[in-house]
Amino acid sequence: MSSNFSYANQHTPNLGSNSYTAYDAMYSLLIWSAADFNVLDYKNNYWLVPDQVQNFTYKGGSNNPYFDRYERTNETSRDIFNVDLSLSYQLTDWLKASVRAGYDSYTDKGELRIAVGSYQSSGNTGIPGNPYTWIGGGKTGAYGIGLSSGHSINADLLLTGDRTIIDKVKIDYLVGGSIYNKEDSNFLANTNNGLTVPGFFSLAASKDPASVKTSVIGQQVNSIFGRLAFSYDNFLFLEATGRNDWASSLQIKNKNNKVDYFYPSLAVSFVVSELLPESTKSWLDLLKFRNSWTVSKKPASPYTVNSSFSTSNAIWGSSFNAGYSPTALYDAENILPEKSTTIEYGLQAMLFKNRIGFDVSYYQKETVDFVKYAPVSQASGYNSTLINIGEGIERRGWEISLNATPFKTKDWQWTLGANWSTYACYWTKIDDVYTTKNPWNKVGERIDNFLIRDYQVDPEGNHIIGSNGKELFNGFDTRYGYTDPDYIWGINSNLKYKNFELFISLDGVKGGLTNTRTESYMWQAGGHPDSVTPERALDVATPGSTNWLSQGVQVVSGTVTYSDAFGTVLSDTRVYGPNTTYTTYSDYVKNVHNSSAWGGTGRPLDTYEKTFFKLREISLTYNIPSKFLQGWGAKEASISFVGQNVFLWAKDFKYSDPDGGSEDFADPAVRYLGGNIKLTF
Amino acid sequence: MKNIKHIIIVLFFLVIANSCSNYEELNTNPDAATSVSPDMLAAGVLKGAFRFWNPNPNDFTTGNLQAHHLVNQDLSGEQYYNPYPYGSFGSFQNLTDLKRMVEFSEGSVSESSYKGLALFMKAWYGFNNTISMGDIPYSEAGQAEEGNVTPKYDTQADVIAQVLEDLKAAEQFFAAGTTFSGDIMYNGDPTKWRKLCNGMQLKVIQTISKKASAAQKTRFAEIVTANNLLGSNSDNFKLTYTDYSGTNHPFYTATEARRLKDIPSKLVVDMLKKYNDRRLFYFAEPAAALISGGMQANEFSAYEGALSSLSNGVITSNNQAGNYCTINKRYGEVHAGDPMLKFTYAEQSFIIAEAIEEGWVSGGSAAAKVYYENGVKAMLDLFKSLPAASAANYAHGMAIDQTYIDNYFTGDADYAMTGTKTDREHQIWDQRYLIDFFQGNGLNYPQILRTGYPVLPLDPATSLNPEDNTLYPKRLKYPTAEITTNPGNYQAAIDSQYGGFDGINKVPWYLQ
Repeated sequence: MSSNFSYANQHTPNLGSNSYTAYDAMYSLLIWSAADFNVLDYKNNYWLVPDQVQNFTYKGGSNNPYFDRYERTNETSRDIFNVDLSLSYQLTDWLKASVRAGYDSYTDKGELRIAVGSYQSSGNTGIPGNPYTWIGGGKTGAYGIGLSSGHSINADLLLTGDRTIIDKVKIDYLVGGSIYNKEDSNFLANTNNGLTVPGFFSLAASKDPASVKTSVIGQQVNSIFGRLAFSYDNFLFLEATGRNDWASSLQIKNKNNKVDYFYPSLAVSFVVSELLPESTKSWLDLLKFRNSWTVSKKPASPYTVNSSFSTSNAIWGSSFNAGYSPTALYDAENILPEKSTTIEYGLQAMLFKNRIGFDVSYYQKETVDFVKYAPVSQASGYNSTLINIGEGIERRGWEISLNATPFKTKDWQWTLGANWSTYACYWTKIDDVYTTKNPWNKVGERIDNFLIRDYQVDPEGNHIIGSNGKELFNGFDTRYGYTDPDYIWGINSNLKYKNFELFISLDGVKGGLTNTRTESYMWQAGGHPDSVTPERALDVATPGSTNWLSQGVQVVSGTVTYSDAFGTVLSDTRVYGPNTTYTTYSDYVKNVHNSSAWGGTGRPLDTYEKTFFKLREISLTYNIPSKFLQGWGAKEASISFVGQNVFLWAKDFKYSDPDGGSEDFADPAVRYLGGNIKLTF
Repeated sequence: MKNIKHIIIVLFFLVIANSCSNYEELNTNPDAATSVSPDMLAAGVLKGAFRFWNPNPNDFTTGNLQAHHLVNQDLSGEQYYNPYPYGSFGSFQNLTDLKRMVEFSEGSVSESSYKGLALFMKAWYGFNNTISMGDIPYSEAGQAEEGNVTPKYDTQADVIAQVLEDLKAAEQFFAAGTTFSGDIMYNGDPTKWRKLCNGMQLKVIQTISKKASAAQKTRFAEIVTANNLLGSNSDNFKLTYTDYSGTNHPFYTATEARRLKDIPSKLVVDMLKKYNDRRLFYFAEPAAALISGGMQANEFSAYEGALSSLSNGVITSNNQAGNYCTINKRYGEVHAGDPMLKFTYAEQSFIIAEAIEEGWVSGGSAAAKVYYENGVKAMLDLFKSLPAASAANYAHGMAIDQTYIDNYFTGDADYAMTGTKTDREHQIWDQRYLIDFFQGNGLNYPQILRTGYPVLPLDPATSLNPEDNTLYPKRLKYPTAEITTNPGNYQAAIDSQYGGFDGINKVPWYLQ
């Protein structure tokens, strides 16, 4: 019998805001702050009238960054409690019974405080349980509180055992049942229309009645499962499993519908090195081949299969409440769980007395029966229909890892680890009715297309410039590349000399397209260092003059028409001449960098490759010899100097960090330099 | 020790037993209703249809650009052809709410009123969708529950004919109806809805004036004669902004920096100056440069609008130099009291005045003059009657009072009895155009397309119309989702109307 119990509490006085829609201070500073004032002048005097009027160069839109961090705050705390218990009992020599039960619970709490006098509202900051928090507060102040709490119970009963059936043939078996029950509840309350008392942050300060929203999500899955494994002479292993689940989230109201589903797996592995001649043992420690076939299933999320009305109160003045019927058509009785089938091949080897090891695997995971709200013509009275869409998507990937100890002596030891992986997702099935029709959604094509409204070009590839002197862009999408990276890699190295250790960890990404939001907005706001050009100076020197001439051609006569929404030309009678129309530099730049943080892909100039690498960590450690520790009561002790995020190289990103896949006014990664002292008692 | 083990085992099974819950109960969302009342559905539909779609200063401003009421320092130019030139059939989704509303009211005293409301709303959606796009699904719209998720498109002529029938039928349901709940527009008064159903038929018929049949013109005259129509501003079909959260004027949260970028157009400002119309002082703040040059805020000449066909760069530098008037501070500082007008007594008066001038209704110019003057007076009275805090204090000392209204019809505002029919219609259309200043509803753009008046400034060198820079667009493209969700019917519609090209400059039937 064993038991575990743990409790953790974490409190963050101000998590800050992050991203464009949260109106991050990075955005205000980098994009809209003028270049001609010293931000430090606004540090300790960010109030003109305490709690009411802010001191800044701007009188609208952007906050003083110090004000923003101290008076527009995002406080969070988290409590986690979990306990588990397991006991087992040997029934006979071939059967053991065990029961396990676990209970987890958490409570997250978040508070947003927007001081009266803030030019920025809460934006979409997100607090526990509530990813969307447009609670306002610009000019008026606001307070919002979010709570998210939940618990889950996981209990199972297992019967296990193993036997040797005949010489060299062993079996291993398991049958069991489990119950998984989970309930999460979310709560959000916020002030409306501002705070009655500046500086008083409470729901009691709400000018209009405060809003309250709650949600409860409950679900349960009951399962029975079994596993049977054979092994022969320690070199051939076979395993089969089967599992049947009953999911509450498939239960339709007032229906006795099927809520259970079955999914199996098979695996085989083969230790080739056991069969090789004894002479290979001197250099080959292990060579193992493995292959598996696994099916997994995922039911619809809770409540999905049961349609309901939504309601909202006080929609126009306080006396009107509204109700809305479901926007999706339901045929839920026929909804199957989403199904994934994974096939994996792997090869593992250990060489030269375990000095070199590698593992190579290839997998393909095909998912079908996606539970999806497939769009229907809104003119039908509905927005979508809930179905298992007839699409199949397969993720195929390679993963390689390598471990080596290039040298090892009494004083020196160098260990190296490297990993490399690549994957891409492909269409394997297309739903004739519901898959969005475009030239890229075809069996065999990748799904992660980076689509863009590209420049309009003439047959020679010159940009077509409009009659206003600005570059023209297509009215249709073009595939510009893929969003998933070509590959991801990481290397770590540990060099040890006597009591000293030098550890280095590098990792990076190659390829994959994304938009830079930060740089696009720097251009649009005129704050980009490269936007200081002679043309811009001339525009400013003579207001109303236009001094920028884009390279390209203009349409002299003729038109183009398209036969579909993807740029297939129906007729094209355009005749081109060189561009002769000047525009202002500002109009030119705003047009070619016209990317919006509110959606859609950006312009070609704002489309970057994610390629980067980071020196994620470097550390130098001195392990204090045990003879110095005697009398201190410590068994081990070490002292380290650590640097994290020490160096970043990126192919395209100059002013922001592409780590994380997309870039949306993220605060820069903190470069951490410091030390650790570790004592083990 | 053994006892403790037993206790733990018992506790364990208690936990399991406790978690064996009822699946049906577990999978019912406790925060979502399985049924609602008809008034709630009505309120939801009406709010969705008639409040500004996304009430914030930026989006609200864009709602005023297309008809050239406003010029914006950052947005002008491309907004005149609309950079997102797609229509939507989203409004038809509400047909399901309306169907439930009628079902849930069956047997109640308000059943007939809800039936009237359902038909009126369907007609409203159909009319606005067909005018903005062309042929649309109408006879087969809202039939997903019957298994039809790919409704066919009806021709614009057929849609209009059915819209008129539905308005007529709605009027009859309201005639038999009682007061109903959930009505944010008329507070459930069926007599007002009846007037609206009649007035809207006039608007629908006149909007297709180039194509209206003799029978439709006769029907127009009959409705005018029967005169169960909007009778004053109190019958206006409108949504009044309140000080309640989420129902404020959409421009209310605008910062001063934001306000300074919104400039009344030269078209509007010059029109108001021509008529010596004091609405100018309610609409605008004077041009800063003209005030510092010594002019007074109560002088018409202190207001200069921006020519909407100028390039963005030129508008920006002029505006930053303070050469333009800007939108009145009232819109950013007063959040309640202004109405969002959807159909007014004034507009109805101008519709009838035009019809009389066109000979659809008898009486001649003398009769038309009465309608013209009644319409103008009603609009002026609307400004005169705005809550004091929201209007007179912001009118730069030029508040509209009864004496001013009584003396309005002089000079260019005097109905041109001795002029041509065109002169008189221009007066009517100017006044009709002014109704929608800073309303954000875009409802009068089709009327400008129909009459070609007022003439919207256009300079091919600054036009951003991607398909033809000598034109302003005539329509919105069909929603892109139709290409994938209803491809056969979509293709048939663009083939039969627009030669296979779903373009914004293509001319729908009613404008041909």
